[in-house]
Amino acid sequence: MAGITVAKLTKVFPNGVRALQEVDLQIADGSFFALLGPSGCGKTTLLRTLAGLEAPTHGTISIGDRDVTRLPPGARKVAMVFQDYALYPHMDVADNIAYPLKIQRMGRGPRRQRAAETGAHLGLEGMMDRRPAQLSGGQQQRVALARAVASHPHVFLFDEPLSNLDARLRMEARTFLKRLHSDLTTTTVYVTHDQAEALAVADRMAVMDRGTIRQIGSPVEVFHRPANLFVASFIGNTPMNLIDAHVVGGLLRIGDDTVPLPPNTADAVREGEPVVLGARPEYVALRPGPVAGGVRSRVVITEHLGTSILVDLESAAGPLQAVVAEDEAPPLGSEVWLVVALARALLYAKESGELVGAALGGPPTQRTTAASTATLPGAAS
Amino acid sequence: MAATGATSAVDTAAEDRRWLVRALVSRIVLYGFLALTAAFFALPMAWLVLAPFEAHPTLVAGLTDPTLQNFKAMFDNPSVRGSLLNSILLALGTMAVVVASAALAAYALSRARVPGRDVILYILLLFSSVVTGSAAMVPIFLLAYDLHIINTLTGVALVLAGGLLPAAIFILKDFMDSTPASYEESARVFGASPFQILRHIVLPLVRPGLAVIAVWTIVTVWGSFLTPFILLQDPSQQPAAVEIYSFYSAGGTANLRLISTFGLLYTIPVVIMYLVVQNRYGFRFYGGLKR
Repeated sequence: MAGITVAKLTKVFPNGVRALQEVDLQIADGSFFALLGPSGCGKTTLLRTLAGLEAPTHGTISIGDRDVTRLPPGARKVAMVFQDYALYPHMDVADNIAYPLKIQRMGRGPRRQRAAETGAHLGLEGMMDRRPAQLSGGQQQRVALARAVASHPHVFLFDEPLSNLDARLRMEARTFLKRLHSDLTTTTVYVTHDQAEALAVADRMAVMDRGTIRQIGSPVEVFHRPANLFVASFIGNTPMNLIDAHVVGGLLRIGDDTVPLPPNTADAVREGEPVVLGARPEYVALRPGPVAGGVRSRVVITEHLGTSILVDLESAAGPLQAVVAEDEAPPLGSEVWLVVALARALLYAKESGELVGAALGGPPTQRTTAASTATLPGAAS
Repeated sequence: MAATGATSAVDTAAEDRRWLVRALVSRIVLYGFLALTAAFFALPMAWLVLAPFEAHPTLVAGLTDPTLQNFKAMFDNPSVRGSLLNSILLALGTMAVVVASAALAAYALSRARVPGRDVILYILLLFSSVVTGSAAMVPIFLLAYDLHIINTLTGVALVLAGGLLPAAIFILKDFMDSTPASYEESARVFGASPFQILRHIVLPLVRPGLAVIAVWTIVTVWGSFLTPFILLQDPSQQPAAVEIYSFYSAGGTANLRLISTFGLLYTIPVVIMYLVVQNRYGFRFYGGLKR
């Protein structure tokens, strides 16, 4: 059991690519930590550096109270699950799971016994004599997990472990991982590019972009108060509406329309300042007639999402999106007024892209937590 | 309309017939040619299989007076038995040196980032044909003499291995390049040493490659003549390929009884090996492999 402290970690590859730039990170003991970001953002490099498969250019890594920066991978007491699982095709399931124990010089009998116990715990009974090629993707993934568990590490490192599974299996495996973590309470670092996955499994997460961490927080914080425009546009099933606006007379001027400032943000902005109003498509409403504080727009396309409908709109402020209930789709081509739910709206400085104000101050209340979990099932589709 | 339709139908029928005749004739010519070619190569084979069982073999393939006397006479000849044993020792010894060294070298070359690695490999490959070629025989002889490995099977095995290694490394490196890096990385995270990774993971995965090299080495050494002929003076050290050379009378006439019998025996191991490997790994000496 150990927490992880990363200080000023920089990784420059021989070809000059700066994969990590002065990354600082604290991962609490026993937490399930997700590293989220688009491909090429450095999340996998950070994970591989934690594992010791890459040597950092600068900076230090501590696991527990040990500085492991210069230790080889095998001495760090970590276990890694790879995207392709890296199961050895010439060994049966038991030998695969027992491989870390073989390295630890445990005898063949006891280690196969331990492998069978670990495998049974992960639902692999009766498969101990099979080869990896004879297993389904989900089973292979559990063998890789069992192998990591069998090595009794202080830290689990997962590199996109679910990305090779199909959508339905991914949901199951996600729940399985979460349950495994609550059983073992081993510190887990989980790399993914899927924001829905990160929101679903992690208790804390970091959003990365081009080698730097853009926000660290709980999934609820990151979802409800994205710290900057990058996180705002990256998190969410449907991209957040980011509407250019100016502060005029204590109101937001959007094209010809005027929208009130979100509550608690009046002090954060100056008169005339260019800002970006952030509103998730789920947190807006459409009105058929003119309303005060509405943004006039026209319906271009509607897409069925199952229980809801995604409406694409055109407005003076550019394209907008709204999610409405399945029986409330406005007719194509009609004029509607988009009303932002100001209690959930976010305000960003246009220049820096940083969050300047949000109606929701501080840690979100219980009510918003319930709301966020309610939106998650759609996230996986 | 009807008239032209009928004419064209007749035309088509005639054309079809001409086409059939042409196809038939070209088939007959092709098969005739193939039969002749096959016979040309099959006759020596027939001689090789039949002559050892003939009491007085001539250069004509046939079985007029079948006997097993030839085999008895051959096995009574101590130098024949000795030469076969020498061949086996030489082939297995060279094989061991080549497989062990090639596995280590190929692994290192496959994983280490050496600048100009591919150039080094190609140069090695180029020189390999020189090492065991006749051009280098004099320096090799002198080198072996100075190292006191002349007139020993060890010396011959080392020289032959030197000639085969570059190609073996080249082939094996290809196999090792194709094993996913994540296999080794996961083993490294579990604390495996490079040697453990090689033994537990890489070697089992490239087993078909090792088999290719082992068989290819044995077959090559089994048939190699020049290197052992030059490096071994003592007749008791000679391998089978060199021994055949001595089955001539002083006057230069060939002892067909011995040559044919010995020739058959000399061929059998290679054929058996081909069949075994073909069965186990399903590869041909040309073409691809299935893993």
